[in-house]
Amino acid sequence: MVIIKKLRHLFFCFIGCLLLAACATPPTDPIALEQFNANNDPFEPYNRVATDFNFKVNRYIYRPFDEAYRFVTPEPVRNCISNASSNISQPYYFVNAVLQGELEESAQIFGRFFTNSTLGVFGLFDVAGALDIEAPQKDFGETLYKWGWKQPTPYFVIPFLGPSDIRDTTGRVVGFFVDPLDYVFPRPERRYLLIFRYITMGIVTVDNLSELLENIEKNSIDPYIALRTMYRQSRAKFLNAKDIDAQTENYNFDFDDEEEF
Amino acid sequence: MKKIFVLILTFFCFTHIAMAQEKSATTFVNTLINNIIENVLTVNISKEEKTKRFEEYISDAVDTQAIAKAVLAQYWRTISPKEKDDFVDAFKEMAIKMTAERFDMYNGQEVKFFSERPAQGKNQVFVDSTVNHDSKDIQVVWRVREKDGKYQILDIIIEGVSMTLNYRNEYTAFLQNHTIQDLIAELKKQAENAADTVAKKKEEKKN
Repeated sequence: MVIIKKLRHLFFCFIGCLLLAACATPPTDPIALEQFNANNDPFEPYNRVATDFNFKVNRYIYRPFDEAYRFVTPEPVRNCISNASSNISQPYYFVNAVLQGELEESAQIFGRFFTNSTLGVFGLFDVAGALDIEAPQKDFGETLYKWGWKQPTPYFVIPFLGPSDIRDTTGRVVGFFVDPLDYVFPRPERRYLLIFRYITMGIVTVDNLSELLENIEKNSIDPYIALRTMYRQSRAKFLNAKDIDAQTENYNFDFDDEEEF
Repeated sequence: MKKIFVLILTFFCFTHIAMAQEKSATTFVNTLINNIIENVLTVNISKEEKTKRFEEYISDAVDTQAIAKAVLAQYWRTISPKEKDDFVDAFKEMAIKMTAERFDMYNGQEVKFFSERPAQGKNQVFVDSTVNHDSKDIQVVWRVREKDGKYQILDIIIEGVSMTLNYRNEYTAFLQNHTIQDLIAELKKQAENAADTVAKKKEEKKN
């Protein structure tokens, strides 16, 4: 435990030093400065290095892993793993729904978790989905947003994990400590459950996203910008899942009709 | 009395026009998708022929000129008419070739339409739909503009990600350190690479 703590401290110190060294200097030209502020990406030099690293990880680790995974597991098995991963995340979604004051959604999440954990054989089968019991995903980044941390925060790329921003990275870190799996179960079991949760989550995420990431790298002129734009837009949709007007604002830009070609 | 009659008549006329327009944008997208499914994706013809047919549909149904202009943002005003034409051609070619690379991915996905909402700008609407893929519903919003009685697509927003906005951010960032000629050359390279991938996939299937 002491070693883990020391490693944690070292990691945070390393990230802190890296960020300080990797901050982009704001330009002095007013137009360039306006663009710089609009991008909201003061860590761009670091983020670009981390993104290149993540593309390489995807190319040499995630993609071959996903191809092997798809080769050895038939689709029904993959669906079971995906269902189990989703089910074991429901307590975390539940806590966040409660923290966000979304009582109806927390009831839906509980209903889904209860149905799939019992009728769905420990979450292997999505019985709740077949019964039209749907429930949203919730995370602590969203909780922080709902609590009032609304202003956009700088873009931040996490090695191995991918695009994020300061609010969502904070959410991820705090999220480690608000997972009910870590409190409800006794010591050895909870550790196994958490390991199971993170391993299945990793497999499912790689399975869902590694091909998309490969396409972005292959088909973009600047994959870094493409990924940043996609992350921001899809995250904005997630944070405003129930507010269609707020979602629309993100893509309802002016096509500039009046000006002649 | 006459005034009231005229008012009621006007109200009904406008409601009728509004409803007709509303239905038409959705019908337009629906018909386009059905045509592409029937005559491009599921028909047994060569990849080249499929790409040719797809290009014909896209040339008619997508306002490439308006999208190209939106994508270049402030840079559009700074380039010559010939560069504009070259960019529009290269952009269109790249988009078609990239899509052609994914023709094989179609395996009976269904598109369901829900509603229409007004979009910023004259005669523009968002057509809301979902595409069922791997037993999940993916939200797809089509931005459509009606101009001189003709409908054309301006943007496709998949799960909140606008294609036009994505290209805009990418290209304007690229143009900060490069010329429009560099961008056109990159787009041509992308179109060629996509065509190569199609040829390679065909070769792999044969083997």
